[in-house]
Amino acid sequence: MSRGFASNYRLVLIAIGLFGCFAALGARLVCLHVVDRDQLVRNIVKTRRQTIIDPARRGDILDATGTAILATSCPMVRVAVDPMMFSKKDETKLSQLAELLDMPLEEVRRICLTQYRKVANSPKPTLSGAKASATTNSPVEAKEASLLKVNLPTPVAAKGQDESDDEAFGRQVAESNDDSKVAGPDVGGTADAEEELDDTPDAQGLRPIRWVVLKKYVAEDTFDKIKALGIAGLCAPERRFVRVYPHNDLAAHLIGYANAEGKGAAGVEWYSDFYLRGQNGWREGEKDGRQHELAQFQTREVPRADGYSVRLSIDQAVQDIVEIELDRIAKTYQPLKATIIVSRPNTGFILGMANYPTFNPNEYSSLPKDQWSRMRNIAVSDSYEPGSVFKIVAASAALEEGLVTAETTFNCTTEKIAYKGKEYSLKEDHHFDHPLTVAEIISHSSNRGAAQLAILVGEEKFEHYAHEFGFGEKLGFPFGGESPGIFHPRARWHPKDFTRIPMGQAVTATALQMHQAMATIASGGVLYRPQIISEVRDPANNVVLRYRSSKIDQVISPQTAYTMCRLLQGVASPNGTAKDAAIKINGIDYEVAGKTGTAQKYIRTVLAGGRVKYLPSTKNHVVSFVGFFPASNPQVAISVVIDDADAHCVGGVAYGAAVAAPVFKRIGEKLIPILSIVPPNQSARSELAAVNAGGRR
Amino acid sequence: MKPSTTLAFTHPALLGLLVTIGFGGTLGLGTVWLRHRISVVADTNAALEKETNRVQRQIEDTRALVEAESTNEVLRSRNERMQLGLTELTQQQIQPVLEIENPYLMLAEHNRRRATEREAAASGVTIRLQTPSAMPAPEIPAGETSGSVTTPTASSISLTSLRPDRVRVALGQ
Repeated sequence: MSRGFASNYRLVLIAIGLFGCFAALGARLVCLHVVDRDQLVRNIVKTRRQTIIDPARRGDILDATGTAILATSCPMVRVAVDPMMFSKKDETKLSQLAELLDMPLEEVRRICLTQYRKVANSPKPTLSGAKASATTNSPVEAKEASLLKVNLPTPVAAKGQDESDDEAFGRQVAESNDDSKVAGPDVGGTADAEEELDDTPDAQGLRPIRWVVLKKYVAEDTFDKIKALGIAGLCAPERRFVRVYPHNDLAAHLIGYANAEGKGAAGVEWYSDFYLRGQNGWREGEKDGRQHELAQFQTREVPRADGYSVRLSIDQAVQDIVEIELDRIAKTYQPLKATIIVSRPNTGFILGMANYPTFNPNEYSSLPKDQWSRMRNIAVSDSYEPGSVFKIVAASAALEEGLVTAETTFNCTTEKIAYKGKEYSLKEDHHFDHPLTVAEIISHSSNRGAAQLAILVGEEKFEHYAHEFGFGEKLGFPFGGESPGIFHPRARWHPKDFTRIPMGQAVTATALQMHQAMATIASGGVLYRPQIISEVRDPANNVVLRYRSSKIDQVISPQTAYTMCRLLQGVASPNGTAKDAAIKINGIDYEVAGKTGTAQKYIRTVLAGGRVKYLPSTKNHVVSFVGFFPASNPQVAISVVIDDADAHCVGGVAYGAAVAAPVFKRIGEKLIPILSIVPPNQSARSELAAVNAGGRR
Repeated sequence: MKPSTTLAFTHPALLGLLVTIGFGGTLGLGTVWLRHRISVVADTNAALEKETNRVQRQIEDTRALVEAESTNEVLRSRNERMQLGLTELTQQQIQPVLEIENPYLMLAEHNRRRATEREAAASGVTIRLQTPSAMPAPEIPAGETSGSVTTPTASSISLTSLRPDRVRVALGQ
C-alpha cells in the first residue's frame, strides 16, 4: 500500500518542527514577560505613559446684580511646533499660518525652520522641572522669575533735623503718598518654557529643538483653522485659560488682576484667590507613536474642579456713574488724583469705588515704570488732611457726652483760642459777627467753633472718639494696601495741635476713613467694616458663602447720630457752605447732609542753600465733600476727594464747596432712580409702573 | 501488518495541536476583537468628552465676547454712532406711585370706578339745589321715582332717578 507523503518519519518531523516553533515562541514570550520585563516596562512607561493636566477654569467676578461679568476666564490655545518634523510640504503653508497667527512671515519661518540650537559654553540656566522627552502634553513647571508685588506706602519716617512740627508732619504726609516708591506689578513667572530641548547634543554641539512656542494665546476657532492646514510639525494643542476683564478699567483697583500664572496678584483676584482658582484635574494614560492619547489605557482620572465665582457688592451701574464723573473731573480740573466712594451706610457694603488715574487690568504688564502708581488704590492707600470734614468728630463727641446741644452757642469772633494757659490764633475762613450755635458751627464750618468743642470734650475723650470713628487705625479693608492715616497719640500732642486737630489739620486720613466716619453718622452711630464681597458661588450657582455686614462698634448713640444728621443737613442748606450739593427733584428736597473739606497740601520746597522743606501751600489743596442723603433716612453715602485741582479753578484756588459738592450732587441725582432711593417723609415707594429688573439699571 | 505506535501517537498529537491552535487562536482573536471594541468605545467616549469640552469652551469664549460688547462704553459709543438717541433715566421722569400690592387689582379697581361713573351718568339722577320760592314743581318723567326734601334753609333738594342707588349730584342754581 502506498502511503504517499505521509510516512512516519515525515509526520514526526513535521510535528517536531511545529512543536519547535511553538516552543521557540513560548521561550521568546518568557524572555519578554519574565526575564526582560522590568527593562521593557521602564521603556514603555518612559515613552508611552503620560500625565495630562486638565487646567481648572478660574471663577468669574460678578457685580452685585450677578449679570455683569467683571472678570472671566477665556479658553485659549498655545500653538507650538516641532521644527524637526517640518517637511518641505509644510513650508508652503507657512504664509497661511503667519496670516492666521497675525505674525510676520519671517518670524514664523525662523521659528519653524530652526531645528538646532547651539550649546553655549557656560551652563545655561535650566528650565526647572522641564521634561526631557519630546512630548508636548507633559506639563512643564514654571520658570523661576523674580516676583514684584505692589508695596504698601512706606512707613512714616522720624522727624528730621531743623524741622518744625508742621514741616515734619508735611514731610511724613508727602512721603507716605510718594508715588515713586511704588513697586511694579506682580507679573508672575513665565508660566511655561518657551522651548523644550532634547538633552543630547550632537557631535557639533548642537541640540535639536523638538518643541517651540509659536504663539502663546490663540482663540479656539483660529486654532481649528490652523489645524485644518495639516502641518505635520504642529504639536498637539495646549489649552489654557487666560484672564480677561471685559469691562476694561471699570473697578480696576478693586478687582485687581491675575498674573501670567493665573494667580491673583492684587485686589479681589488676590484676596479671593482661594475660591477663584479651582483645582486642576489630571489623567494618566498612554499615547501612541503619533502622540495621540490612547483612551482605552487611561488608568487614573481626577476631574477638574472649576473655581468658584465671587459676587461683589459693587453695582456696575453705580460704578459706571462714578467713573464718568471722575473722567469729567479729570478733564475739567486735571487734578493730581481723585477718588469717589459710594456705599450703603447701614451695611458698610460699597456700591462703587473709583480712582483717578486708573489702569486697565487687561494691560497691567505693559504699564511703563513711571505709571505703576496708577495701580494704587489711593482711596485706601493715600492719606490726606481731611480739613473741615473732621469737625464731625468734635461735634459728635460734644453732643454724645451731653456737653452741648444743637443750640449751645460759642463765641467764634475772637481771633485767639485760649488753651492750657496760652493763646493760639486760629484762622477762620469766614467772618462771624455773632456767637454761633453748634448747628451753625457745622453749617458755616467754623474752625474756632470746632476747636472750642474739642477743648470742651477734652483731649482724652476727643482722642477716644477719633479712634472710635476709625481714624489712626486700619478699617480692615484688604484691597489695595490700606494705610491707617496719621493720628499721633495724645502724648505727642503739642497744645497748639489740639486747637488744630479738630478742624482737620495735623491729622491725616484716607478717603475711605472719612467716608466711613460720615457713614457712621448716617447709620445711626454704628461704624461698619467696609466690604465689597457679598457672595461666593460654586459653578452650579449655589451660594457657598454669604458675607453679612460687619459691625465694628457703636460709636455714638442713635439720638446723637440723628442730631448730627440734622446739623449736617444745614451744610447743604441755602445758608450752608455747600448749597451746591443740595438735591431737589420734582419739588422734593432729598435732604442732603454732609461736610465740605478744603485742606492745604504740604509741598516739597527747595529753599536757598538747597535745603528741602515741606511747607503748606496756598495754591495746592485737597478738597472734598463727604455726605449722605436723605438725612432723615440715609440710604446712600458718597465721598468725593480731589487732590490738587487748583490750577484750573476760578481764582486759582480749589474749594470743596465749589469743586467737590457739585460732583456729589450730580452723582446723587443719578443714583436716585438706580438705587430706588425713597424721598424723605414719604412712605410711598417711587417705582416705575412697568419696571423690571433689567429696566431698573 | 501491525500499525506503527509512532503513528498511533502522532496523529492524535497533531490533531490535538491543530485543535489547540484553533481553539487558542479563536480565543486570541476574540480577545483582540474585544480589546478593539473597548478601544473604539473608549475613543468614542474620549471624542464625546472632547466635543463637550470644546462646546463648553466655545460657550465661555462667546460669553466673554458678549460681555465685552455689552460694556457701557461700547453701548454708549454705539448709541452715538447709530444716533439712537437713548439717554439715561433721570428721576424727573419718574412719578411716585402708591405701593402696589397687585397691579391687576389696582387696574380692576380703577375700571370699576370708571364703570360706576359711567352708569351714574347714564342713570340721569340729578340733585338740584334751589330756593323754595323759586322752585317750580318738578316735572317727573314717566317711570321715574321722585322725592323731595325741604330743608330749613332756603334750599331744597329734589331727587329723580331710575336707579335710586346710583345718584349723581349736580349743584346748580
